[in-house]
Amino acid sequence: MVHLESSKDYVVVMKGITKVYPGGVVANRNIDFDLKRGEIHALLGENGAGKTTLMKILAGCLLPDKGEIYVKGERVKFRSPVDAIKKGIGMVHQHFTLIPSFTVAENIILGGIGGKREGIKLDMKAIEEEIAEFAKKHGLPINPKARIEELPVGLKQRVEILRLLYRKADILILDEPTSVLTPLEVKELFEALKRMASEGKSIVFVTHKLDEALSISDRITVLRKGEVVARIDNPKSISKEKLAELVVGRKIVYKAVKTKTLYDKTTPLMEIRNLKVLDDRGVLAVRNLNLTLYPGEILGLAGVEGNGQRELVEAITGLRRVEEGEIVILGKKVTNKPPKYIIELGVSYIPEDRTGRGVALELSVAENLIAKVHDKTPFSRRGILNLKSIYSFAKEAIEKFNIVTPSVKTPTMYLSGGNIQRLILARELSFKPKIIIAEQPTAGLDVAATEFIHKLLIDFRNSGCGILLISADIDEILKLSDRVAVIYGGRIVKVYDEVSRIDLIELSKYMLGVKTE
Amino acid sequence: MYEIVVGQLAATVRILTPLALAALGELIVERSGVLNLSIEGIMLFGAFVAFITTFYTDNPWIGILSAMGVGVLLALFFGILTVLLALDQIIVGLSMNILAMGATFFFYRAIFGWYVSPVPPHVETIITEMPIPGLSMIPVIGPIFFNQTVFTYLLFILIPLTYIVLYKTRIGLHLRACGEDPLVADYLGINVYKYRFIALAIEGVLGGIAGALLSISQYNMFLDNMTAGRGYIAIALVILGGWDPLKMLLGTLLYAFVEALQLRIQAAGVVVTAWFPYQFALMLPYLVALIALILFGRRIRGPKALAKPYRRVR
Repeated sequence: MVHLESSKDYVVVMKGITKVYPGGVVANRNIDFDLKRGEIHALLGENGAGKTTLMKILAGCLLPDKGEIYVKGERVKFRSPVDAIKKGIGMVHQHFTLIPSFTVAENIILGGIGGKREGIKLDMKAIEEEIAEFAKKHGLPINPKARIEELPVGLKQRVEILRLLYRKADILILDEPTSVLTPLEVKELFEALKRMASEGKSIVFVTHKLDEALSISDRITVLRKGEVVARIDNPKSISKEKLAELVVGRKIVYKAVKTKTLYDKTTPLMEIRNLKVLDDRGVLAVRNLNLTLYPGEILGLAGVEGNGQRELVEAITGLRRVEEGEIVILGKKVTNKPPKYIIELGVSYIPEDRTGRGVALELSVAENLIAKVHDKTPFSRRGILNLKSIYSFAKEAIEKFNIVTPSVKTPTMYLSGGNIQRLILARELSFKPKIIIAEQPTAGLDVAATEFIHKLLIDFRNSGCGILLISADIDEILKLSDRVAVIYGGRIVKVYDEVSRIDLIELSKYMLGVKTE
Repeated sequence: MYEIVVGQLAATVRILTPLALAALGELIVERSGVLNLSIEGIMLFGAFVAFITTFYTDNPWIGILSAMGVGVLLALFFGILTVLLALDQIIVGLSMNILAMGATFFFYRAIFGWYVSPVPPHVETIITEMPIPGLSMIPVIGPIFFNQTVFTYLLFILIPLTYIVLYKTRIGLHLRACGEDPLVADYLGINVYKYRFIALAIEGVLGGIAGALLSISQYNMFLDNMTAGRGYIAIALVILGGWDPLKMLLGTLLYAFVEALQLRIQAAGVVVTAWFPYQFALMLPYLVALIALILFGRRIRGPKALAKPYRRVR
């Protein structure tokens, strides 16, 4: 590389970036990265490869321990995201940085950077007009008066992008922007990004999805375990298989073996009829929902985040009150029964919020493993725990589920995300479940852990379990499901009995509520 | 009858003033995402320091000033522990209140002797009403609103002013952003620490005044634990008012009305029987606040980041 930093074509040059987190984890090791003016550059890698860390350093959210950054030919040292935005660099984070109770316009002007108006007084009417105009000009129309909490995820993302543009960013970083979008929205986003690039904006597209990196980018940089493993200047020249190998670091040997359709519709495992459930604000989140789960199937629940999935799952598992309707599991009415009753019927729950709901972080691995059966023999007798049988069970589970932990007594908080998820699976799947509610079971996990979980779920399905799979990842739903139900506005708006015949655009329309049956 | 009603309402406004000042300070702080329980201790210290300085200088205005000063110091101390060092706000707040109770108890005796004399020491000059010429002569409204101390007038300027700043200016928008999500505010270039400290300093001033009014305006002496939970009531009123200054004032009005009524019942010696002891009347305002919270509290949504410590990680 010859003096890229002084070249006019390169808007960003990062050299030798190293970042070590306080816990000692090396997230970035001596990384070089560069971005050309007007290009879309994919930063590709598994979850945990260090992509987000590298981009947070570029956006001023994190300070590097070592390395140099040049922006438009000038050496920079960002102490905050504000320093970065002043040089034109802005980032759309995976967790949106919007304030839900504020309006779109308020969120965009927050911080007082960009825009025409200055001074103390807020003339919201004028600001809203200005922003509506601004949004239209950039081909991303939005209602500036809408409250963020009322917007679907796709529009929230649009507000994030608009705010960066309003703050005059010309280097945009998007961290996993498609993970919350439907295929139709992804198509629209890609068009918008290509348009922005053609207008001279430079874009870093952070993703773990190979197809996306291949389809949108001009160049690809592949990260693995905190290091750059490949730079691909011409994505058209590389095969998906080769790219996958680069990303994962080995050949992917695993393939889920799904036996033929084996569910039969005569004996449902779970029936949900006319279900009505309120959300935290007291608004109906599940409205008249009907759904049936059969043994031996994976039923994928596709939907844009915030359409009642969470409330539905909480109602099934007994964590949220049902207002109307009923849930019948194995012939028994479980509506508004305590969670313990439902657990003992054989319902397992793999929650989305692993550290909050899935485990007690302060408790040991062994204690978490028996958390649902601690009052049963052989783990306790007359209220006294039998530590010997607890530890021997824990050791077995650790081996069977490949949980990496120093010991069974280690507090769970010292485990990595992937290992916490394995621990949850071990607990939920060790006691012959009949129904598994799997909520975003692989979100944020690397390829190896994802494969492991997919295989487990398919094995359980093959052995006659009924699995309700809630996932924001359409690819995961399509890969695993026998049937797919689409949830929108708290109702099931469509059920596909044959996954192979799903039209992605039509599916998107159901998910977005554009189409109903 | 006319005199009883007007007297009751004037007393309501008089009692409302220190409470609403403290609650207003707490509201501003809570909007920035900090729950400052130590408002109780700030008021108590304010009452104490105002009394002592007035006692020795015979000038209640010096008393007010010193109460403001000690209020700011305590609020900033709370800020150093909870905002800068990100310690738990509840624990720090409670500890400071217990400290305030003990410290004022101790210093009062260190200054005036270790026994409590039958006639407690008192100050000669206090903050008195400042009738507004003309306006105070209007029937009904005059004696209720325009024959009060200068701090009542200040309060009725500050309430709408706070409302305007909160909702109609960038400063207010940024302050509320700190209370909703300090990380986002920080990312967007809002100095969360600055906003929280300034809010705390304002609360210190208002809380100090509120305490001073108890000792050197409504009474002319200092009594052990004389705030008697008014700081906590101020916090309850902020919640009850949904963190909105105007609604908060309404709640404070209701509370002050009940308390004024209670004082009247006591003074008049009405039916102080075995089944209605005066202690019951003393309990009434707290009971009203609790009932109001039970009735309306569940629907109220506060600042999202309230009482959560924010640590900047870079």
